[in-house]
Amino acid sequence: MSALFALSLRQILGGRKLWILAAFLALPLLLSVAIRFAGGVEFAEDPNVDIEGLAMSAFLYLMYPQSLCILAALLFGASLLAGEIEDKTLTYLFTRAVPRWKVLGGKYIATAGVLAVLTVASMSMAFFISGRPFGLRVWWALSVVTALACFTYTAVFALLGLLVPRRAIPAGLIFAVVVEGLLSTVPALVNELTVGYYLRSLAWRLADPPLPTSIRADFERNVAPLFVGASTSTALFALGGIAVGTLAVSALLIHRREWPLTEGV
Amino acid sequence: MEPLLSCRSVTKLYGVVIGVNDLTLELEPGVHGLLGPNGAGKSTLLKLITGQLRPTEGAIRVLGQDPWNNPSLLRRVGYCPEHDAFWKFLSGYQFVATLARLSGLGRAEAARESERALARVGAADYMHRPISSYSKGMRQRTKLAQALVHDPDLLILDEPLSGTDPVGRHELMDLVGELGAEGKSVLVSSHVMHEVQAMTERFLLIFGGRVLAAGDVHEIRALLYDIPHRIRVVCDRPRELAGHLAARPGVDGVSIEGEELRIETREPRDLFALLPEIAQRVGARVRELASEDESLDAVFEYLVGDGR
Repeated sequence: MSALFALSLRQILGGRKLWILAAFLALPLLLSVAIRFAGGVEFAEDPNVDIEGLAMSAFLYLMYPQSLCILAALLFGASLLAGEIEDKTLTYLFTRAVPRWKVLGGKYIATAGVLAVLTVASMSMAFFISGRPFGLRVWWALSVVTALACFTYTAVFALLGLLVPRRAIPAGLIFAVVVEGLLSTVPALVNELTVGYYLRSLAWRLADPPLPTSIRADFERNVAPLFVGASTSTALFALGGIAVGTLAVSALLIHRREWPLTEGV
Repeated sequence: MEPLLSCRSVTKLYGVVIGVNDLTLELEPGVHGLLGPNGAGKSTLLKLITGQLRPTEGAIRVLGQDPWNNPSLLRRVGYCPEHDAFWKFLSGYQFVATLARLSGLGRAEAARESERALARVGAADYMHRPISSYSKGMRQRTKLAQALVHDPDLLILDEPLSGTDPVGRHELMDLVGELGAEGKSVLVSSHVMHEVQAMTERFLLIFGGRVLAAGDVHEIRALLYDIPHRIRVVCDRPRELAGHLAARPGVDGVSIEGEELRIETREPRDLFALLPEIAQRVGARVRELASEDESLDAVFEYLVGDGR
């Protein structure tokens, strides 16, 4: 497993896609710098008037778990094995004394781990540049949710890459926009089938932002059940279940499926 | 002794395209050449043997085990694929060492065995350079090293000489011979007959997904009693020699081109015995005498013609 992990790390860190990821991750940093040095958001000491802090936290949430983690996971997760298929290097991995599920597992841990480290690092920089909205508790919540988003979406897109290897990126973008973008915000049962719903719920529970009492009561009564209704344990269980479930389906697929990488018969 | 390979009515279909067609054979340990033109089904058979594909029908056993999804068997098998695929950001050494680790070798052992395997295929001088800078021949050697690195009992080499220069080709052919002498079993595929002939005397001739013949070139030829055997004689009096031979029983035809006489016969042994006497009788001085059918090319030509 360690050899697979090391190989995957080199593939990620040495590939061109890393530059695309770097560009993705630089965007919120630049925006944070712009906001900070343009004299933008000021975070009041009194939480009762800290609307800007809430806006900045929401901005970081939208930029990282809700957008960049999805794009990064799509970019790297969809090619977890599809890239090896395309490059015909899967032959080497599947003709060795390693069970196929371990090949998948090793590559998944390395890929999701690297994405989690890089996105959390970028998010942390943006958080501190923007003036630590609501303090370290929010940073901790955003870090956990960002990391979990990377692990969950990488597993989802790895499965997608196996199901539709040649069209994984367009299919992933459609999934990101329709399911994670639109359906996850539809206030009905359907949003409970999305990753975004549980990430949002977890972020809300862990951050527990210090809102004015009247706003909080209204939010908890009318909005939270629809958009952030899952408890911390439910959200963690659902995210873990989605990641493990999609990985298990991927493992089953690669176990049962043939990989005819033929150039001829 | 357990058979190296056993196939029972193995068929592999890709949709409606036949890769391997009702193939039944048993191979004993040793060095075997798998010979056939492009598209004959060689690579499909090798992928079935290495467990990358599963037979649509029939059963296949390699070293007594089903190869499909069988990592413990793959520990005993080294596979050199046909396609030119690598993680090109690695050096040859890193590539082989990574695959050695995946074959179950520890870190130190993988490092040691990788150096040994790369030296054995003649790639030691450039093994620390990135693969992206390698020539095709260097890549072929590196691919062969990764198949050898874990000291497998069975080596499956799919077109291993493709892209190598004449010197490299000779060295790699010698290496296959050495491996055979060490007691390793090797199944090596090629569509170039003289290459296979230089590595082994035991062949599987495959065409259209079927094994047309198996055995050594003489055994295969013996199977083809009904097909005339071609003998080429270069002498100074071919017309006189042809006149005496044409009437002989067992001679199916003679043709002359300059000083070259081509004889077709179903009784090559009798003809070889008679030829000196007849040549002496007509006063012909024979400069060359060769059985064209002893070359694998000729045998394959017969078989493929028959198969069609």
